[in-house]
Amino acid sequence: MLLVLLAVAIAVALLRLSIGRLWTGEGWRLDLGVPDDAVAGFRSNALAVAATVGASLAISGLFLQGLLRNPLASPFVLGLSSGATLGLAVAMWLALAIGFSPFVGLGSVVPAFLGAMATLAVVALAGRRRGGLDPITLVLAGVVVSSVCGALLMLVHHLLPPGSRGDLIAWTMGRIDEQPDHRLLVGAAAILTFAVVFAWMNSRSLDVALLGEEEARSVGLSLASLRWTLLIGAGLLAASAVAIAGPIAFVGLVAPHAARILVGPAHRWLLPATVLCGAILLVGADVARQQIDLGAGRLPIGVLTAILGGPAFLWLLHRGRLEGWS
Amino acid sequence: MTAAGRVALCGVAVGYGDRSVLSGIQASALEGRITAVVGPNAAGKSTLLRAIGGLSAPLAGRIEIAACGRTGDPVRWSGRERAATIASMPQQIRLPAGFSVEEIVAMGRHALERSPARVQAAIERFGLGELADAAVHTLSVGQQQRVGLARIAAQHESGGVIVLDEPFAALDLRELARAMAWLRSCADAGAVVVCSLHDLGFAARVADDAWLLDRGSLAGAGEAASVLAPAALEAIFGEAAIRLFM
Repeated sequence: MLLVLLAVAIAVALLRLSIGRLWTGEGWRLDLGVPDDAVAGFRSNALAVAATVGASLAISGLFLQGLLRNPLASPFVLGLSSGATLGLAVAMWLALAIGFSPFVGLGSVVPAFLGAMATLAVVALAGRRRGGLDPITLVLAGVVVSSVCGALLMLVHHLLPPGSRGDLIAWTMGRIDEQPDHRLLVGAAAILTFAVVFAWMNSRSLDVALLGEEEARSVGLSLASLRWTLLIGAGLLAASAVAIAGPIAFVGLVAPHAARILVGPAHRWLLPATVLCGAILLVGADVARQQIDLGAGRLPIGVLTAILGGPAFLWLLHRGRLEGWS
Repeated sequence: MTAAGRVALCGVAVGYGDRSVLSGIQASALEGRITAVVGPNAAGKSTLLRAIGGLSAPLAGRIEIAACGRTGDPVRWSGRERAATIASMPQQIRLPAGFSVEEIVAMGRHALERSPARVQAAIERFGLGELADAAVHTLSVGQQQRVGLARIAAQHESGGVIVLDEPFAALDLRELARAMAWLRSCADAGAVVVCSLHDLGFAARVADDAWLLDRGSLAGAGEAASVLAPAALEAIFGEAAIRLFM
């Protein structure tokens, strides 16, 4: 899986270099050598970040959609992203208040994960019905918890000293870093790889889980433990994506649907396809936003994905591929 | 020597949360016989069938199943043991979009030994051969019901228990005949069949035994011919309804 991802990343890196050359008027040429300038180094960093974050959000969304049997589920809709963002913002505020920050680099996944899991716990408690998790109630709870987190985020923003608000704002608009913390990136890639391999090994069970609680049970699959594993996996993936790039909407929602249209619903193929769709979607968005400057610097990635992702989801709905899901 | 296959309900109560819908149910379904579960709407038929399928624990009493060399309360069995002994189908089947008929039918063998031959035979049995590769969400309600039944046929081990909740509601006459022939052949091979039916006339014709549920308890159990006799039904459904039914 990682090899496929790596191959795609390299291919896209080469493509990007050639697009860059076209853009700067250097003309296209095949360059298989190691990028020889600092700009290329920055760009391949950004590429690795975008691919990892995109794939993590996509797999998180796939887990949530599958286990809730709900086409609208995603880390964003269920409040995981907002929870992770709030967790990080609170950590940032505390760090400034006591003048010391343990939550940098890989450590920043900790408050993000705590934030994501705290919102998930609230959402799951609100969504409990007769000992199980009710999909519709869960989504409604997610929407409410998301907006409360948004309000609390504004509160944290308000509490921050004026000079340090810029960082938080830039990060909440989504950020693909060209000089990422490498340990954080490797950690996120490890979480992603583990999640995909685990899910792939259980792909037949994930297929059967789509039958629903009772039918899955009647063919001998208990959903209880699988559900909790997937929820925690989705939380970890969303947390690492948010820690790296801030809250990025719609990739987690749209990528699994795109993959489903391409390869069908069987997880054996759906899992790798979702990784690729998520990675390609965010890398593509990152390439595109580099070219857009509305007079205030390059466009923040979160703004672009939201603008692109919304209509894409409406188009998915319109095509009626979600029939029989809700 | 293994005990004869049977589903025995001993003082069973079922319901939602703490609220019981049915209580004090004392009845048995036997190997080789089709037992129809009948009663007015909301009598608790589906809730009782879920408990028999081992999908939810009864609120009180004990369900004891003897089949396929296994004896005991299905709620206590492992997923694999339960799947190998009881094949159960809910009233509303929701097939996940995008999967093919063959993939859905093969899911019946999820916890059991894989058997492409049995999956194929089940598909043919319900006349779905030409639709094997069709996506299930493109099928009609009746076709989807046949896919659900084929899934049960693929899962069912000879001599096991089959629990069906209104399995024929969407089938046309020809498919109904096909499904009944399958169900009868399973019973003849030693299966215990428990099946809820809303059509009393149909139940009286096809079932061997019947459980009549009304007002939270078992109003009658035994041979279908006597349980579903007009005199017994009149007390529950009213004289006007029985005239309609005869």
